[in-house]
Amino acid sequence: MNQKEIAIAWFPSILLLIVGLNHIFYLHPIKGVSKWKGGGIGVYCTNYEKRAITWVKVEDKFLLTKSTLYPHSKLYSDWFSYIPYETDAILKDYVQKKIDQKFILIQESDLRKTSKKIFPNKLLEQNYFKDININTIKLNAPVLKANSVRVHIWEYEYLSPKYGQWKLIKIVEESNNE
Amino acid sequence: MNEKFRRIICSLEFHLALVALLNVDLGLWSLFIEAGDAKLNITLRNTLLFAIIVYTVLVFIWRKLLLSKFTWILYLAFSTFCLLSGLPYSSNLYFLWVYIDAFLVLLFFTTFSKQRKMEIIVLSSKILICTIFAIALLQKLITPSFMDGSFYYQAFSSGFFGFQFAPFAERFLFQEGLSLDVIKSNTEVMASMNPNLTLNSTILVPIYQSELLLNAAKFMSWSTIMIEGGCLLLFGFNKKKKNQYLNHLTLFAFLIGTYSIVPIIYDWGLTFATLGMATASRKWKPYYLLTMIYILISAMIFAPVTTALFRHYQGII
Repeated sequence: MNQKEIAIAWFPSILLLIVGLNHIFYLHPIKGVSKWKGGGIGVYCTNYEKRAITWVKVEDKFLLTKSTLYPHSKLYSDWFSYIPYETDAILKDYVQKKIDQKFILIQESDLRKTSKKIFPNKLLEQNYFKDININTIKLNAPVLKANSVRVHIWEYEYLSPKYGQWKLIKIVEESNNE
Repeated sequence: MNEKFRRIICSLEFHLALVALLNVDLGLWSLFIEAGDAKLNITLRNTLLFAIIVYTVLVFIWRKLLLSKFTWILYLAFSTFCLLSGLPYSSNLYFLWVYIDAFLVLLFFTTFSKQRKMEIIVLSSKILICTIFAIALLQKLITPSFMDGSFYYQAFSSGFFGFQFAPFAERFLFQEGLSLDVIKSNTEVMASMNPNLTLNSTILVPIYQSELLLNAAKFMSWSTIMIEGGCLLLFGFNKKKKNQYLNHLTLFAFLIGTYSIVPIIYDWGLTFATLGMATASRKWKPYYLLTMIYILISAMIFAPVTTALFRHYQGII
């Protein structure tokens, strides 16, 4: 094989090496991009290290809401969101969208009508919010806007093989100025 | 095995047809399943996916299209769209497919003969397998929580990323006293978090304690290093034709071992199998096809179960 042919054969691997090494030495350690994303080929060597939990404040009471920071995927949205990468700009945009969003208060009895999912007793004991959608509109519940939205970013830390903990590493909060 | 069949699967067109199909599969995952909540809405993403499916059908009818540079420019544009539309959250596999399509565009801009093109694809696939395993190994070796077994231990004994591992854990580890309650416990910890916690607050996670599980986790960590390292060394340095079977057996062990545990990422398995198949002799190519069929069947059977379990654990929160 001549040099031109060998160069063409190496082409995809060179691209992979550049992006992979950029991930290993810059994107992950400096920018906090998860090993699962960003072209670093690092899946299954650690977990999704970060999660976001969104609290919505209405009438001086914070309630947990279903949400996701994963904009292109609704598949994994739930009471927390796996986050492979977050910047202040992404978080600000997300919180602003939550501020503009309308919520509906769902009672325990209503929940059972609309969802077959299993909910834990802890959450069944309190009222909480679900993003408004066609199913919930049918419930005739009052539509509410948030006074403020608080997002907690939690990072998982391996303490040893048998021990681990969540650490609250960032809090983002915006109030509704209307 | 039928000689005509062997001739077909050894051809350049067959390899390119597999690559075309995997582009569609990638698009299906990226644009339809991930993006659209599995709904058939008319969006730019879904329209593009539909167009590429139609074009791929045409490619299969008029196989000469596989050898056209226009085809690979189209697939490159499509995989680039898949990658960019998901940024910064795009999976690593989308990056890889852009590189593979870009390579094919480059290849079809040359005037090499079909045989020469196939030889370049073989060499490129070998180098790519080595590069992927080199980066994957480096990632693991520099991650202390992988090397000391923490990753596997906590993956099996907790629900943080249980949607991949829960079926495995349930099948094999319940015998060791691991109960569903333990898997649930992490999600319950998250549910107990309250909105007024201050920065740097920590919450210790209850994790199932077992020496046997710890030893199993350490064994799995080192097995992963050995098998990925084996693939890297064999594809990189095993030049003797008579010893090529070692390359393929090691890659089969990796493919079957890995994608039986994590069938949900079957498209990675199919990508590796396609690269491995490109490097294989006539004798070994059919076994790669069988491995691909196994990965697909495994995905069809277990991926929905895995997804259902994932949703179940999510629902608990």
